[in-house]
Amino acid sequence: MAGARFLDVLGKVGYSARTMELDLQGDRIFVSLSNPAKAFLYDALDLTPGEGIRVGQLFGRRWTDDAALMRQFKAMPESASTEVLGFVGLIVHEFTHHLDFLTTPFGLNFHSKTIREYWSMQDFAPVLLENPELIPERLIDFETHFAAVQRAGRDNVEIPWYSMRAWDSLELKTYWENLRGQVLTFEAWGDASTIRPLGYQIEPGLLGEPNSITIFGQKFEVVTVNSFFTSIRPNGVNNWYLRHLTILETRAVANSLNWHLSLLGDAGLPDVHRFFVDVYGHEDLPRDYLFLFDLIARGFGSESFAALLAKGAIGAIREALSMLITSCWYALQAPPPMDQMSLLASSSIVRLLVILQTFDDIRAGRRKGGFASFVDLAGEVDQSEQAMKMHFRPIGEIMPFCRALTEKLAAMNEEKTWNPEVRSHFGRVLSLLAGSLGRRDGYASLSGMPAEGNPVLGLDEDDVALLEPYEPPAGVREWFTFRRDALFVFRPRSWTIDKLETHFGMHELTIPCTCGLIISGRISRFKEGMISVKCPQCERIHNVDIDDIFKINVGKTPKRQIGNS
Amino acid sequence: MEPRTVSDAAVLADALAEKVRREGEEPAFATLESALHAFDAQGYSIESLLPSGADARLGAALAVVKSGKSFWSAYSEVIRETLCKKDSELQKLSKAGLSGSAGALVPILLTGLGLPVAAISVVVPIAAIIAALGVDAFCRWSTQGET
Repeated sequence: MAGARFLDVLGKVGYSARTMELDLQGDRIFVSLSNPAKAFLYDALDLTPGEGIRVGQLFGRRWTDDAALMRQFKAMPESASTEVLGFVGLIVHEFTHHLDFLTTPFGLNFHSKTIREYWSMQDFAPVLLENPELIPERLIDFETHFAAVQRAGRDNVEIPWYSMRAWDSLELKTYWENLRGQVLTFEAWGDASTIRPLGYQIEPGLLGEPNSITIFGQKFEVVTVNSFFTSIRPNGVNNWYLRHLTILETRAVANSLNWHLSLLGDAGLPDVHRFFVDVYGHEDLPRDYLFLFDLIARGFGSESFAALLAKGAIGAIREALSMLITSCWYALQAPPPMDQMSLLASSSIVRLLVILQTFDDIRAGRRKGGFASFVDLAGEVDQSEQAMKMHFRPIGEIMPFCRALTEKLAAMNEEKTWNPEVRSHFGRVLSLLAGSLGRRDGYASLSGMPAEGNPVLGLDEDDVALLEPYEPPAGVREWFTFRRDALFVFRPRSWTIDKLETHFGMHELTIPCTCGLIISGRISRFKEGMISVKCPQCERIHNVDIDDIFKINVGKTPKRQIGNS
Repeated sequence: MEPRTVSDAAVLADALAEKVRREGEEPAFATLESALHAFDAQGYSIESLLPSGADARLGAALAVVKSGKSFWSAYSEVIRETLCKKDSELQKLSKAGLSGSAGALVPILLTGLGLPVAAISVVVPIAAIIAALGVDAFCRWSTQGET
């Protein structure tokens, strides 16, 4: 077993897709290694004590080509060799996540929903802040909380006046409706992390009909989450279903294992087995990490992937890893909704199930005829009867659609995102997506399905922007730090109000019109240039330069007020 | 026994606090773990209780909180940050001489942390641990820099 200190730090290494931050725990991860592991890495990666590690060094020579290095590796205590594999694998793992979110149609779908969610929140939050009693403990529960406040109000005439206004507010309802779709989708997706909807939101069956599916001899219950998202769960399991985290972690772990085998050659298989069991064998690990590994292992006659590794059949192991990488790659080509028939076709989970059934058929000999490569197979699956029934679109149509959508979103971002830091961040995300999606027309991708497990080695010179160091602006980190907890975690209302006010607080603009009416309204804190306001009473147009506005600080957010216009 | 009301929970919390004073925190961790399982069985997830203070993440080997002890380790930080501020309800309780009353802590924790009623069983062992420690001792380190 690797050192507890190292495993503890390894558990903290992570990737935040929305901020595009890889948290490799800085020097902590290297410091946490045992001395033999450090000594080996100095030699294997040509490191110089006291100097940092460059990405290129991590992806340097293959150890199997250097007999002395291999002897050194094999001479290490087993715990140290596990630490070494963990160290060299973690960057492959996290870069797999990074590239999956920035080079695939799923990544575009994820980021476009994130951006649309932000735009909806930008409208919704200021109205909500005017009616703080309507803020629930989890923002995703707004609708049920709103209904409860309404019910209470009918029985209690002393409800504050602003509630009464909000109840009739078409503005609030419209803004919530716009936001609702995005947050319920992210909830059903597990937020591409470990979020889980409430139990009653996960219904057995597909569109109300009982349904099951068998893959590699294992029967699963089909479930529908939030009334639209189709997935599966093992029979008898109520607190988990197959979700995006499963796909993403499977690809990252499978790439790491392939990279280990590439560095060490077949002789390293026992070390890879030990690494897999030590790091992924603990009970606190979410089921997502091993679910597909264990499922595909059944196709090779093993009860689990750990058992398949223990058998030492290197051919079967490499084939299983290839199936994991490619099936999940096929899943990640699920585009954002392309038309009204896209419910199943735009689901990564549905695409995954279709390709897994194809692999199952191939392994069981039910599918006749060979295929030259996975790219050919994926193209055939796109044209299959099952895919047609679900309205799958060929990859040749998906990629141009994604490129056009990226371009459209980039233009909308310039218009719609008020906060300049957030606008700049979204602009960068969309620019990276535009670049990577613009360079691919089919399934073939050296970084998406890297032969040696290392996606970075599959990138070319045009992809360099994907690897550039990036630190999101403070306002971006502030929003995304707050967003997850506010939407999905029970938090005191005062906390939510404070955070919403900090990020979305508006300026209240008051203009005394010459007709005697005081015109009042909200404007963005980030508004620049001129604004035009029409008096609803005398219809006089007030053209106001933002720089001429007199500001009065009231509470946290300064109010803007015009003396005379 | 599963508490159905805040009063039930207060009685259970006081009894558990006594036990914690005698035997240490282990009985409270065991109760907390059972409560978390019950919360999960009701269709809620433990993730809905634990703020991450970060964007949704993926990772090399993410661990989910399952044990009572690991939950306490993470959630006690949340409680300190949320409820130990100067003039907070928790501090008022302490000033009123009720620092050691687990029963009095139950409603403060439930409302102050924004928890649903379904989490009432989770609050019982938390209240017991804080009461056994004393509110002042529990909050002390977080208020040291606050003057």
